[in-house]
Amino acid sequence: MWKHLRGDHAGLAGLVLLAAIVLAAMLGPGMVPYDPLQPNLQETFLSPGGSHALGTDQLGRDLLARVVTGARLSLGGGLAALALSLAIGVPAGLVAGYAGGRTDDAIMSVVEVLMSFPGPLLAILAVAVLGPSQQHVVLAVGLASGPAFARLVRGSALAIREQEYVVAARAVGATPSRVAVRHVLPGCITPIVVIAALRLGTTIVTIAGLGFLGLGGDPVRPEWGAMLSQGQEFLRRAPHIALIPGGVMLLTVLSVNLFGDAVADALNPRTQSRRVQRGG
Amino acid sequence: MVRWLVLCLALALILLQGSAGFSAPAGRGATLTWGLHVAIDRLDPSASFALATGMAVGRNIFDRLVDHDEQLNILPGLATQWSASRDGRTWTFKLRQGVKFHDGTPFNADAVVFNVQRAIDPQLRLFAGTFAWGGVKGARKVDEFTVEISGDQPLAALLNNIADSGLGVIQSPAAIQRVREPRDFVPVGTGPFKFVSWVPDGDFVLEANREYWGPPPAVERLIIRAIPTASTRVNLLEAGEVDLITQAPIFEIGRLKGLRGVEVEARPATSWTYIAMNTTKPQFADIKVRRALNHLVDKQTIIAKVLFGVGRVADSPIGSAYRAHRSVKVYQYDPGLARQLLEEAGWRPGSDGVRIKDGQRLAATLWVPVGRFPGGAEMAQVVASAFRGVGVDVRVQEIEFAAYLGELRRSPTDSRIELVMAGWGTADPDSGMRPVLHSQSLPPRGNNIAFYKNPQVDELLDRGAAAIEPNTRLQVYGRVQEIVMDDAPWLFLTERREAVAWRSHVKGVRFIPSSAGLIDVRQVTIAR
Repeated sequence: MWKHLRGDHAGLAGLVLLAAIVLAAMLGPGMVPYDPLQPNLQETFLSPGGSHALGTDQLGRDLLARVVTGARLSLGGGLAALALSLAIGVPAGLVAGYAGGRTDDAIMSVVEVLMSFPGPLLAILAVAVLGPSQQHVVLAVGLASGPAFARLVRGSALAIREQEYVVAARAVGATPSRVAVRHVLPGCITPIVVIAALRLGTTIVTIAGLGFLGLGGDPVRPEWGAMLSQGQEFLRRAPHIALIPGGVMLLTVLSVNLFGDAVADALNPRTQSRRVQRGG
Repeated sequence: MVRWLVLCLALALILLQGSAGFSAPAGRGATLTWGLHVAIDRLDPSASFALATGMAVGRNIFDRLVDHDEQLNILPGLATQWSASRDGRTWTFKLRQGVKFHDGTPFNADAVVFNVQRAIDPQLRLFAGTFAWGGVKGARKVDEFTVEISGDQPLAALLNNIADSGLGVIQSPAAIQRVREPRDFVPVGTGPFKFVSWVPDGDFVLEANREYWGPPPAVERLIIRAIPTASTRVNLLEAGEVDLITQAPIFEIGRLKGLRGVEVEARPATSWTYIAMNTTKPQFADIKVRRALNHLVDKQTIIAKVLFGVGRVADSPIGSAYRAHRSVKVYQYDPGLARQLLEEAGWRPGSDGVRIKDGQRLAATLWVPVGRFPGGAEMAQVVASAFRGVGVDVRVQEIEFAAYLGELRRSPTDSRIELVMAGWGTADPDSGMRPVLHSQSLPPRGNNIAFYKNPQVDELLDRGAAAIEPNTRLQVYGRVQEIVMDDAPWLFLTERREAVAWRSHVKGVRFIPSSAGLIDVRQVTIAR
């Protein structure tokens, strides 16, 4: 992995950028001397520079403070949604792929129905039912991207269960659940990691998109999507209010995707061997 | 070959479109193009609750028996004289003679009786019956040009209600009777403009009525174009594609004022914006708490910074354009006093800083409908932040408009309202205050969403509704404003104003301050 990254400049750049953003999300709110929630109507619409490094928004709140606080919501939300979709999708796919037959049909027909909705639409539906709040948005996005993992894992499990070592495990009397978890699942890990790394960016954007639509609940929270939607009104007068959260979101998703690509390359046996050859 | 044909067709289309842009006819009468902030919902103003439809369709194609001037005085319209009976239950209108509808049929007492009967027909469920003709039980022809309109109760608000918006219009009975299917409806009135065409969500086109009984319009054509996106409206105005726009975004006003060739105005109106506190919830049952919270709303700064100066500090529950408006008092921004009042009321800071009394936290959700109030979400955030500063935990939640209306309709026992931003405003103080303050107007019947109950206010509102004498009404409604201001069922914020912007060559735009502010373009001239 590390060996691979050294040769992959784009992936390395993505990793460095991502690390910087994660660090800012962890330390930033403590280091910026402004409250991201507290309006200060005496300092509205300040341009970047001066005592407010990234300027202030329409209510005079420090944008740097808001953006770094928002990073927790966006990255944390993205990871949480991803974890949720893995928690739903992986077991479902594993059971479907390994058990086969009617179980497979039952699970996969549900998955296919869910997959036929565009993910964001499914998420909007879920939030509309649950009510607008950040938790519900994360929940909805997690639920909406679960089926993709289910399908992925099922595909891998279908192939792996015919492998000789799996057949052997079954032959020596291992229970189906033991075979599934101990012998089939490990074989699925690589594609799961690859797809998860690539999906993280999409998940962050979808969460921000729902925030943009006002489904994230309290508009006070410095969620990037909500900041973007509030800022677009003032695009002409003070473009930085929308451009800063938008730009930070762009950089975050870019870094996540570059890094995700690098992970995918590193774990892909074909590109790996090619690189080794080239490097050697 | 086919490719060439397609190309030629595309070119022709582009050329056609281009030429349509240069259609300002030299020598012929001028055209006024108005960028309206919403789409006209239907062509029958008697059936539409939308203010914009009343303003665009009702005020241009139709007349009412009486009209409002810019101070909300009552002016003659299709009626030249009117008087109320001693008990106020019957109004007699003398009608204007020699007026014709656009379809050539004569305007007379039969037409008025037809329109009133149609409006109050319970089967048709027209908004006009509830609002313009509210309380009216019947109309009677006395002679060809005299009509009596009567109700079971005194009709003190009748003149204002008829004159307001587009609900009180008089339509051609012949045209209404011709309608078989709702989609066949064509608006036929006596007004200064005649209907030409309408594309839903697109252009509503009118032409001058040269036989108008009053001064005929100076423009030949009036095009009302639905442009719901605020930034698009502004861009089209700046580009000169439209001559006038309603609801210019408030944060653009400063910039538009600086532009050459553009005029902007945001005049006072009767309508106002407030935050209702559910007075039946333990958090807001105590008058001291409600007053304390009012002292935490820095109205001056909010209007200056959040509303860009477009507003007026609330010194009464209602808007200043009401003739009955009384400047009662202002809850000055004073966090110290607010803290003191909260302490006196027994709300003490708990372990997390939020005030508690008898196990109840002083916490609430503040609902703001998305996009309905200019600066609404921002105002809510500022208010919530000030509340947090003294240990009142308020969470702002933006709520989609349909869901908002649904929540507002819930009956007192299952209402989930804690704090909710709302607005109101009409032409008459009765319709202005009764639906939001009378204890008989609790949802779902009315809009008393603070669930406010004060027998004295009820009694005064009932007295006002029965009082025909203008001075009695002024006194009664002035007293109501004093009591409500004191009881503080709401967080009093600001008067609502809507900005209108137009190119400088447009002269004579008039403002009727009822509701959120209507504009009247009937006498507009264009000087290029």
